[in-house]
Amino acid sequence: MSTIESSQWNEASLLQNRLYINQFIRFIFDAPSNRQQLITFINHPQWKPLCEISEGFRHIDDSIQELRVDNGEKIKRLQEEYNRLFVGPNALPAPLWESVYLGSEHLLFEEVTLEVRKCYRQYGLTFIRESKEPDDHIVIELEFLSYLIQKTIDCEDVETKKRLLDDQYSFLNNHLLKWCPTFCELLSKATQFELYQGAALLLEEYLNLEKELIPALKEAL
Amino acid sequence: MSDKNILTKIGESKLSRRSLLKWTGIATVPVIAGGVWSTKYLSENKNIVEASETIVPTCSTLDCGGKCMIKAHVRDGVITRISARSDKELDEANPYMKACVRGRSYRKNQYHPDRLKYPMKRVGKRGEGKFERISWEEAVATIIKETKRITEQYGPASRYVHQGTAVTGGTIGGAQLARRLMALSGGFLNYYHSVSMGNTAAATPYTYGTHQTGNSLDSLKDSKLILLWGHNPSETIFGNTLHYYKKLKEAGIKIISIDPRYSNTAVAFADEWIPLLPGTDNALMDAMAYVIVKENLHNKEFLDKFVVGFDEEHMPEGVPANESLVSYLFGKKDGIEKTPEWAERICKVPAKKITELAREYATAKPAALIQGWGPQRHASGERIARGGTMLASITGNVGVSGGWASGYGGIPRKFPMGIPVPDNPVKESISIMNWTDAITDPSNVTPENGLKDGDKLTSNIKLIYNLAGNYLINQQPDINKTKKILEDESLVEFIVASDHFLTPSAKYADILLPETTFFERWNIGESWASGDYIILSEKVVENYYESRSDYDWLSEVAQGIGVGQAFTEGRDEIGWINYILDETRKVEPDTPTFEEFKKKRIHYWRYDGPRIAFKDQIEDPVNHPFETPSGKIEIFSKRLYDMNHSEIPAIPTYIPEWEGAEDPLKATYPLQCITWKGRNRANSTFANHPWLKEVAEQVLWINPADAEKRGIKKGDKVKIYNGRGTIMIAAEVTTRIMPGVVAMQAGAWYDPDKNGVDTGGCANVLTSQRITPLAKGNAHQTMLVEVQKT
Repeated sequence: MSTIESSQWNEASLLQNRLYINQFIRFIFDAPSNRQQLITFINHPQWKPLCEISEGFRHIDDSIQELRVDNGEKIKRLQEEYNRLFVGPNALPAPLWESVYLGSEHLLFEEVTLEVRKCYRQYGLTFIRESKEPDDHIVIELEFLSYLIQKTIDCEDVETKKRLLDDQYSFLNNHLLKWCPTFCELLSKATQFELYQGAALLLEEYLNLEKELIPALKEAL
Repeated sequence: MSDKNILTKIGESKLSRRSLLKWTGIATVPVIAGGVWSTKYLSENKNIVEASETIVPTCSTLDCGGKCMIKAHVRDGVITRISARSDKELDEANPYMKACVRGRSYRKNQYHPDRLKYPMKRVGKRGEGKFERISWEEAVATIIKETKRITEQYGPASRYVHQGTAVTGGTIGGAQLARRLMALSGGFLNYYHSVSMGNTAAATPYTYGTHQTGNSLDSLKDSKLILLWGHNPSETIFGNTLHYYKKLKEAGIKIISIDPRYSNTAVAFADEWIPLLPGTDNALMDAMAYVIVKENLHNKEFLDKFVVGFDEEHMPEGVPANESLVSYLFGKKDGIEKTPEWAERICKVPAKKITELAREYATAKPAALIQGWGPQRHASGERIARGGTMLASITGNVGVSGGWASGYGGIPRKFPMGIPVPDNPVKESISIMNWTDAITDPSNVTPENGLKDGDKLTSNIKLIYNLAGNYLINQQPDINKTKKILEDESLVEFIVASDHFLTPSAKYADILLPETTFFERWNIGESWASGDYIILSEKVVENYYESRSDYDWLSEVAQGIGVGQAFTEGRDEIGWINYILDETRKVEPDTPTFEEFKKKRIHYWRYDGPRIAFKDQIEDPVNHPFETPSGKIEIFSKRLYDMNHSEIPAIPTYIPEWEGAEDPLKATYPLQCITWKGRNRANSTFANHPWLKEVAEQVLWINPADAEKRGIKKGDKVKIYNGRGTIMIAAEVTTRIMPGVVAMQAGAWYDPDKNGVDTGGCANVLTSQRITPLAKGNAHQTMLVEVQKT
């Protein structure tokens, strides 16, 4: 394999792997965990190496390994923890929406929510529950980033690729990186569960990785 | 990007470009998880239209007296801000308030991250606060199943729709709809008595034959003196009252506030503040009457013509001697003259001040003695209400512009019709004070203590619908007693609650439903009496998450229990708005159609000049008798006399109240505790509101004299307790509360720690379920406590 070929190969797989991590984080924050799905993740041959390079993944791994032997109690407790942290009805200790951190009134549906919506719209995207639920939930913001990554993978044109990377970078800096560090801090304080502590760590690691990676990818073009 | 860079520096322990590249480099297959799992919340949409901002005038349907029209600025489906009316929009004939801290901050409630988002079912013990998200289908199916089961097993009288007043500012409200549903499907145990003003509503008619004793407030411009007796509209936001008080103040009309607490109303409007011990109002009133009569300042002509029971010459048949007011005042029976000195010992108002006040009230013609509803929420509240009517009557301040008949103070105005609740097949009804007894021991609920239209209850309460109400726990007297009853899942077998937040009451739900706000459904906003308008409360945004209007899900429940068509009559929410307007138009022909209403937003009802209560009775007594048995004002009520009850005097005499200023229990709990309604809440609504919490911290007001005795300094955490419970909050040492009395704001959310000590400052941990004698009502303001530094 020539150097050029291998670097292209690596770039593609690098993008795919960003996508994977992004996707995994969304999986954790989207809904109460499903045991089977979690086990599927850790059974994949590439899971172990991933844990070697990420503290967040290691914690998550520890917590999922615990589930290998489970009569249902452990996963139930994990699900209850998800509900306590992110669903309610009690006060939510680590809200999952950007506007709570960056909005002038710390509510849902603030000006920043509409700014995030604008970013989606620039790509002809709308949140399927627009106006009922806010657009700036962590999972949706990450999905938008992953959409841009996927588009970058699919794109042949260097200029378009550059623009896509620019947009990823500005979305990252103007939104995700502005609030997620506080969110991650709140979350790790709010929970004793390693899965969610790991998730907090992983999210932060991932966003920092993106911050480092996107300019490098652009430079390499 | 070269392989050289990729493979250098391996062994990183945190995710980084390098470590990721390492991982990527050793990966045999680049796509590790594609297609395994992914969210799909963003969809491609070719028809994105960015909407410009619209401004929608609307109003809340909360139980807030202000009922201001607010303007929702809506952009792209989001309320971006709320604004208030401008000065030029004021209609002097029908004023409504400008939005205050409550109205201007509605967004905080609407978009609060903790708002309930999904239907929930209880998974822990009842009251523990553990819930799990379920679908609406499951929630509704469970409600249908449990409603059917309990009805079959215990009968319709086991079904109870609890007080849910949080949205009574709207014509359509959940609790009322639930009563309709229950009435249509076999019946339910109903309750009576308003915990806001039920005692005065019950007592005032014994004097005047009606509780509609208020004048329209525009008539107060003719007053020479206004006594605000326990009336605090600055903080309660009592309808459009403040609009008028501001003008009275500007016109230089003297206003005196009589209140144990130097309220914001007293601060803003009063020329003088006269503090008195809570519940001793009748002592002050009687001594005022004593001075007035002794100094011949009473209106003899008026009394001769219109009043029964003033002196021995004006008594009903069949009553022994010395039962008249004058006989009482001069001690003909008990040997005690009700002098200012006598009253000073009881109420702590200096005798000299009492004399002054009496003279001032009797000689300022006309004068308005306006009673608030706080004093009547006392064990002695019924007597206090009638005491006011006695003073108004002996001074002839009834039926005249600028006077005020006192008592309840209702002003009959025009109101829209509601959605009808058909006749309830269950005939018995209970006082709101009986509901916990009706759960634990219905044999305790007797005609003597509140049961109406029956001799006994046929079932325990087994099913509770609690919609838009925090009265299940938080606002109910004696929380500790109540929660034990609700926690026992064998007693009430099923509780459904709907709300915006997990309130202390909602915690006790078995099925908990997220209710829409007034921004998400159609309704008609109604003003509190004295306001004369209705406002269209429009659906301006989509429902937040999975919240649904109670009408929606109740319709499905109705369907499930076989009364779907009867319940909805084929109407949706707008259909009912049309119905209400059409029905109202039959009574008030100028009522707008829905289409007209949508254009004008606010509808003012007009009158020919001010309304003066009892004007007809005074100007033309022959054709307009008072609606009392005698046809006259009854300072002495033969009906009350015949009740022969030690706490129900025929004339409003001073009788020391239980747990009041003279109760021997003061040896153990020496301080009287009262509560006030704050400007930052409508009852308990907004107690979790981040801005409004900052408006007024939940603290205990204590006088420096009482604080010093206990070594308490401002800001100290104190324990407030009695035999029913304990609260721990910070103290505010202030002369704004008189010695011997402590006070805290009502409506704070109950927040118990591990030991059951409330840290939220909810006074109902300390209040009593003991009933008032006549109305069988609540005495939320009567409690003795001790305070200790912690």
